[in-house]
Amino acid sequence: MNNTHHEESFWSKYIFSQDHKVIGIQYGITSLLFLFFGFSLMLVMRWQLAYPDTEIPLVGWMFENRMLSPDMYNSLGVMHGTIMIFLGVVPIIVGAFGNYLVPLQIGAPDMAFPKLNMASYWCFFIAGIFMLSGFFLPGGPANSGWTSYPPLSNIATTGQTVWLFGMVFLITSSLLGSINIIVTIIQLRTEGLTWMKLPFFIWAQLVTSFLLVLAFPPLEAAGIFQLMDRLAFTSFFMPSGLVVGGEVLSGVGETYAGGGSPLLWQHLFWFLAHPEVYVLILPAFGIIGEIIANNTRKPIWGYKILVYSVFFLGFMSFIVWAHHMFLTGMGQTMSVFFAITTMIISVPSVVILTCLVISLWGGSIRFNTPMLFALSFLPMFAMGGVTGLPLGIPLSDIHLHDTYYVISHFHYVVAPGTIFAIFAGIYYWFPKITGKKLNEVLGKVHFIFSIIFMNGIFFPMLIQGLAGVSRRLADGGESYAHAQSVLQYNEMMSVSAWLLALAQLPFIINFIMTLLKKKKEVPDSNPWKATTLEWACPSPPIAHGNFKTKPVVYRGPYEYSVPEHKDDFSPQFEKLGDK
Amino acid sequence: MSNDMNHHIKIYRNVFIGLLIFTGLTVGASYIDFNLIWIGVTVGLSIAFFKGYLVAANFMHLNDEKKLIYMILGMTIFFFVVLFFMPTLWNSNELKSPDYLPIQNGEGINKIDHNNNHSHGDHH
Amino acid sequence: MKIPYNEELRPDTGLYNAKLGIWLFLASEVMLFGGLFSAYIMLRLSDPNWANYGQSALNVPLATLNTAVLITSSVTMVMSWVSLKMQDVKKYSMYMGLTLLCSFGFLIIKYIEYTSKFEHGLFPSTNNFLAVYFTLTGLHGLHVIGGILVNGYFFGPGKKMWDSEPERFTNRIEVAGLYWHFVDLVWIFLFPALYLL
Repeated sequence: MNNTHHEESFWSKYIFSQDHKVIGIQYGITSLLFLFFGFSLMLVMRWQLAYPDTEIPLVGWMFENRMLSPDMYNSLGVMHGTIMIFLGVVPIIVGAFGNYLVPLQIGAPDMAFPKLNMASYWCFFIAGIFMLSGFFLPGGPANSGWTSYPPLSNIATTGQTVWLFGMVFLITSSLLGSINIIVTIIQLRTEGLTWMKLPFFIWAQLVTSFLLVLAFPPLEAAGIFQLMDRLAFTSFFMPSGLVVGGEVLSGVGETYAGGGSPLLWQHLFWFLAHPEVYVLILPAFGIIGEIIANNTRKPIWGYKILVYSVFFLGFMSFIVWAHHMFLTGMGQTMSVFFAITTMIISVPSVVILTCLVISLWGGSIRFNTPMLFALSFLPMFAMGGVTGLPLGIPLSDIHLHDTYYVISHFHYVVAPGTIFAIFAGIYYWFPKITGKKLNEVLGKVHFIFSIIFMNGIFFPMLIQGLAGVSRRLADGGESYAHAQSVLQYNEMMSVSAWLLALAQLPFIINFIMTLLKKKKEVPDSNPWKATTLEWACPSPPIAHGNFKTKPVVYRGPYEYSVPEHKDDFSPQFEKLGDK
Repeated sequence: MSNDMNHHIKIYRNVFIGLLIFTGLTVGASYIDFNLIWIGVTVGLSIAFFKGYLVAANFMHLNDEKKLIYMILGMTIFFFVVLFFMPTLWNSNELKSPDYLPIQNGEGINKIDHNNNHSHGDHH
Repeated sequence: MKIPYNEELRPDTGLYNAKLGIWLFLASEVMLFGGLFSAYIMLRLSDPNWANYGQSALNVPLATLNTAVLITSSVTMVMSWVSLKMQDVKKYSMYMGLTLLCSFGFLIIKYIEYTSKFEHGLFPSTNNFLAVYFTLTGLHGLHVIGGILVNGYFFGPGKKMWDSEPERFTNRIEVAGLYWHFVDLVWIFLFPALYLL
């Protein structure tokens, strides 16, 4: 029963759309803008680190004394982290890539709950407004670390309150979106698409969504507790006898009754935040898997192992969180337990990487831009993973916790990790969304300089961290005895960061230029000669319903170079004998 | 179909009565002074779990649901238990390092001195 | 463009979409209240002064009545679904109306409880027990309000769907019922945890 085509107003077609493709693009554009904004915050911070106590060029006029005060440095740090993770990366890989591609890759006309989809985008949008509003408050944005540890965050300025409200809306948006993705994948798979024929991207999105559904609510609880502490003066996280600046804040007859536990926040926060980092990486694995299969012209090696690995990874991610808390005075039993689970969780990641690397063996590799980003993801993520090991062992973590080593570790996995996967995905699926391929020369320029400067920023951090330089030091360690021998890296890292920013220009120019280009009469629906279902529909897909006729699946997702076949690929959606 | 529904209606009525009775029981039990606190907690929680079971199994049709729902709920309950018990286990003294006790009365770290080697005058 | 399996059951899972969706949502709510209860336990066990915080100030008879009211609303909610399964839309309206009445009753009793606390100078900031009490029952109350909004919609303007798509409407009431029973379930644990234990 097809709908009779009714005229849609501008508002219902482009703004309050219930079409997963429009919503996916809304998420994509909004989060790309947030990503660039969050990145620019760090560019300002890196001036401070390279040249402390000098006036900031270009944007100095925005700050008091044209320099960053320590409070402002902390604020920019919080907003950089929060924006990149919650308003940038997750909305792109789940909200944009997930919403746009999941229905297409399973042959569905849309997501299971289109209205919920629309609601989840607008919740995200409102969350963004809350988060950014902190910049306009007299006390500045939140500045208690993206981890918002109490008691500091309890007594911080109003920026913290709007951060908390922003988180509440973000969590709501995420819940609505992830429920939608799970139901869509389970219920709306097209005819013939059995579980073990699903593209790896779909498995990754499924596990990611389960992580989001089950791990976010404890942070919501914690956020509510912190809001109560800040607004109703409860003492959920306020310990007794807290004295700040000579003033007694908690106890009998004081502002706060006391008796609370700062550790409670840490438990609830990290219960989410650890699965959150797997939310950041799993969809990236999915994207990389698709692109590697396509550009080696070979099936992915170890499909079943990959599927079991992502489930095992998702499960384990719930029982490792206290490795972020090794220095809180936990007993041996606890630290041994979490050290063991942390070591175990490194195994499925390595398995996944290994399968992807083995997939390259004997392939006819095409070195196009998506593939270059996908290939570089492998060693870069490996760097990030390997540097996580000394952090997961309590003994070495005592030395490395809260140093630049940690910053380097998590940036290696997210920046030349997930963000490279995002770029790979944009270059790969751009022709499906718009009917036009991005320019290859500009893409390769974007790639080569990005990978060089990424390493220029994050490798020296390992050295600084091992020397003992703490994170969140507004002067970059200048007044810190441990740091003197490694201070010279600050300037090099900052210059790399600014050059990395410049390296994004080819990408931005490419993006806009290609959008403005006129597209062919009938764009190629499968320019990469791929096998999965999203390449069965036109480019871009049909507005209502995506596919001309309901697709049927006849084989697995990566049937490349099947022997005795005319072409080096056999799409899932083509009947045998058609080729 | 109508008979089927009548059967269900009977069950719902019985569950309703059962819930009211057990509510009364749990309130009554709260007035009993048990010797050990944990007995009282166990009684209270057991009654609560039973009432919860009645609602979940009958009103929420969980006694006749599909496997997928059971799997999702099973996984959720597992993580719920982890979340629930971890902060409590954390604070349990048995799980702390045996040589150090929590700071008490602001005296500084009270290392268990097995050999009576120290004197309090060592600190200032 | 029709989304499949909104009414009919998908053969391999045996579910319609909204049922899977609501159970996933309830799973997230289990984790939310898990975090809240876990916090309660952690705070209570680590604070030696807990017994002095005035749990005895709570009005157990009133809360017991409230428990009975909420349980009743759960029964009337499931009966409203049963009525639709038996094609009796008038009975549906009666039971849904009773559910709404009980829900409002619950909120009114809660309001009485809260205001009596405030009058005695007992606020969330007074001590951690009261902080936990107000926050947990407050969040539960917000969920009750959410349920009232949903059920109210289905009692009023939403009822139109019965005429055009009766099966889909019945499913919606089943799904709303699942949410409402969960709200009742949480209270079944909250009541003893806060008032009795």
